[in-house]
Amino acid sequence: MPRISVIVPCYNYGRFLSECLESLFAQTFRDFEVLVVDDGSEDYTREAVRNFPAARYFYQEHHGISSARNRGLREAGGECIAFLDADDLWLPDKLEKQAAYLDAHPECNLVFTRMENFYDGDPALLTETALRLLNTAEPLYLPSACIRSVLFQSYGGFREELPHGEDTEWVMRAGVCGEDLGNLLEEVLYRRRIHGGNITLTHNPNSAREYLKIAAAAIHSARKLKRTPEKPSAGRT
Amino acid sequence: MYRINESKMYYDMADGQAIVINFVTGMYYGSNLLGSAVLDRLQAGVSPNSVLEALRGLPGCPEDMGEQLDAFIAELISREILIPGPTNAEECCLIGGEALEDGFFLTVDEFAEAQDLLLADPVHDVDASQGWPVLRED
Repeated sequence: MPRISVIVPCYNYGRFLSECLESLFAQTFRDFEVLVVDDGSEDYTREAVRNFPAARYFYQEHHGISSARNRGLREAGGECIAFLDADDLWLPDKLEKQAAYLDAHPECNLVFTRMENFYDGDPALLTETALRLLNTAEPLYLPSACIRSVLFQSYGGFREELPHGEDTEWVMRAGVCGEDLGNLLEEVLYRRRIHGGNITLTHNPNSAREYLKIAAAAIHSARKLKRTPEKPSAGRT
Repeated sequence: MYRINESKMYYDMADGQAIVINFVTGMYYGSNLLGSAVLDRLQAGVSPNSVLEALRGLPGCPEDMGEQLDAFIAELISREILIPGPTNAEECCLIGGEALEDGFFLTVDEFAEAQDLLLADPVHDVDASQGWPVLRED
C-alpha cells in the first residue's frame, strides 16, 4: 500500500496537465501513487497522461469535480490522500514535509500548506475578478492538504450535487464534526494557477449567499453524520 | 405572520431538518423534526392558527400544544430568527406523521461549533498574513 494517494481530477485541462504531473513526479517523497481521473475530457488529457506511465488513469463520463474526486477516493489505496487540481502545481518537497508532519503528530489527521496564486499569461487579459482572486489567500485550501484516508471513511466523500465549493463544504463538514483544522505548514507548497477557466471565477466567488449555502450543506451533512452510526463511503454523505 | 430575518439569518431545510445560520454571530440554530416542520410553515407565511390546526390533526397531539407553539414562536422571535411578514394563505400547512419521529415537542437549539468557520469566509475575509481563523480587522 502506498503511503499517499494523489488524486488529480481533470476535465479538459490537458494543456496544463503535463506541467502538473511533472511537479508531482518531481516530489522528493517517493512513496505515493498518482490517480488521474479524467472526467470526460474532450481534449488531449488522455494523451498527456500517457507520457507519465507511473500514473494510473481512470476515465468516466462527465459528472463534475466532486464525482471525479470521489472516483479517485474509491480507487485510492494509500494511507493518506492528497489532491492536486490539474491546472495547479506542487513545490518539490510538499509531500515530504506533510508526511513528516503527520509522522510527528499522530493526533493530527490533516495538514494544510500555504498556497499562492500565479498567472503566467498576458496580464492585460486578467479580468477584475481574476485579479482579485490572484490576490486572495485560502489558508484552508483542501487541495493543499494531506489527509489521513480514515477521514473519508468517517465523514464521507464530496457532495456531487454541488457544482462548486465541494472542497469548502468537505472541510467545513469535518470541522463541524470536530476535526482539528488548525494544522498548517507555513510554507507555500501549493501553487494555484489563475486563468480564465477557474471554477471559482465562473461561479462568482464573491457571493456571500453562495458561501452560506455551502456552509448550510456542510452543517446538514455533519449533523446527519452525528445522528447516523453507519460510516459513509466515498461519494455518499 | 412571519418570515425569516434575512438581514441576519440564512435559512435552509434538508431531509426534514431546518437550519438557520446567524451570519452575524456565527451561531446556528436547529430544531427537532416537528419544530423544523413548524418553522418551515411559519417562515413561509402560514398563520400560527393554521399551524396549530395542523398540529391538532396529528395523532397524540398534547393538550398544551397551543402554549407550546406560542412559546416556540416567542423564542424564534427573541432570537431574531423570525420577524413579521406577509401572510401566505396558499402555502400548504399539512404536517406529515414523519415529523413526529423524534417526539411531539418543539425545540430551538443553538450551536457554536461552526462559529469560526461561519464568521470567516475563508476565500475573502481571512488575514492572509496570519491565516485561519484570524479575520481581517475590517
